[in-house]
Amino acid sequence: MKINHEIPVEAGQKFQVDAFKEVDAPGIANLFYTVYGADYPFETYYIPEKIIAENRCGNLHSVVARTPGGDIIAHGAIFRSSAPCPNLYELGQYIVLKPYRDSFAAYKINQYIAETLVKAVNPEGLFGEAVCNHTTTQKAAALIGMKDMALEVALMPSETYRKEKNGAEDRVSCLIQFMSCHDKPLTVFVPPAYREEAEFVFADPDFRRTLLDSVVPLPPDVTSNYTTTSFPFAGVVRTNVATAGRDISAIIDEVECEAAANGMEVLQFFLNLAMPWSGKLVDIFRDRGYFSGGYIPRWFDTDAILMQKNRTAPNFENIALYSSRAKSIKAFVQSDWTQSEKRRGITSP
Amino acid sequence: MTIAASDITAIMKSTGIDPKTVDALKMDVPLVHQGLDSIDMPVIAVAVEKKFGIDLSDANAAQLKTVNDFAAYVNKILQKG
Repeated sequence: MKINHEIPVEAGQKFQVDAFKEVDAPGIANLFYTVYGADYPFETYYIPEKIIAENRCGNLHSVVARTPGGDIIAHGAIFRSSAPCPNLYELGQYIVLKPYRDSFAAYKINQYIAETLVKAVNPEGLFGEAVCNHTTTQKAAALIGMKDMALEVALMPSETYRKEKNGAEDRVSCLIQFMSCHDKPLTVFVPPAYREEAEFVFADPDFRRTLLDSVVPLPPDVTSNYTTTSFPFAGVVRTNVATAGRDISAIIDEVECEAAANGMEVLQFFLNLAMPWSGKLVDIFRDRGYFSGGYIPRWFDTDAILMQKNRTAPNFENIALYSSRAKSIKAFVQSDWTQSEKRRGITSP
Repeated sequence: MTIAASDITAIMKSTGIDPKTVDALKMDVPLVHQGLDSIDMPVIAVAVEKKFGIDLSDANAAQLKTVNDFAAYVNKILQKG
């Protein structure tokens, strides 16, 4: 049954960080309701039965900070989300009750996930989408070895973060970070336009990659295989293109048309770089005003490149980044955005 | 055995906190007012726990705001032990 009222939790209790037990589910739902009210966009977290079901089937692996009396004062998780690779999990859903924000609950959950949960679940990797209106989340992820990979520009509406008072005036960008748990050697067909960026991010010893320039044309006999998901609360449309053929332009038309009709702000296409023709595919997106966000390892099991387009010109000045690696990625992305605007005949003010 | 504030700052440097930031610290001013943040605090606390083999319970650790606070708390525990 959906939790729709707050059950007070006493402040100052001792707690222990532990893997999810089914008895924790009502406490997790209460935690989400207490912190977000009824506004959290994913209903699962308000319904104890759904929290249990998702943990049972492996779509969600919750970690909690539990008091001796069974109250849940903090939560973090790895979970299946947008990545087509079923064994690539997202790291997130961190939430701490306000009276416990000065405790080390979030830190301990982070450590538990990296040191204990990852061994138990055995994913190929973890990715996170760290907000860029502050650097705390990025730093916490870096602490457990996550590497900066890509920048989702102006991804989230500022209203989402207004309660945090973290100075989010414009839409908030997110940094995609990645932890490799079981890397495997892969051939990446690199779009020539983004060769330098690929060499930069895959130079990390976590990745065993052979980078090949992708110059062959799209094949005439391949039909595109893709899935599109809309996130109306964020104004984002995300399309995963596992395979692309010559019908891709019509597919982009269709996605753009529907996005415009629904007032969506951000279009994202994740393109599979196992395709030898990915270079020409990326050119199609570049010709339509898209710019690169960067590379995401193992997104399709093989690697992906993110091509993105924003309805409103993004403000790159408000993107707060922790690491020098992330700042280099931002420089690549901003430069590509500027070029995309020039190609569209738009000059920055 | 007693420890000094410099023992705490040495531990802070070993956790990867920028040595320039550590060298500039005032020992009796809250760390969060001197360029450290909410992520650094538990990192320091855990490193201090490991170095001295003591248990900083969450309630106590959250009360430790300055370098001097950390040193005084560790000394109190070591003298008890």
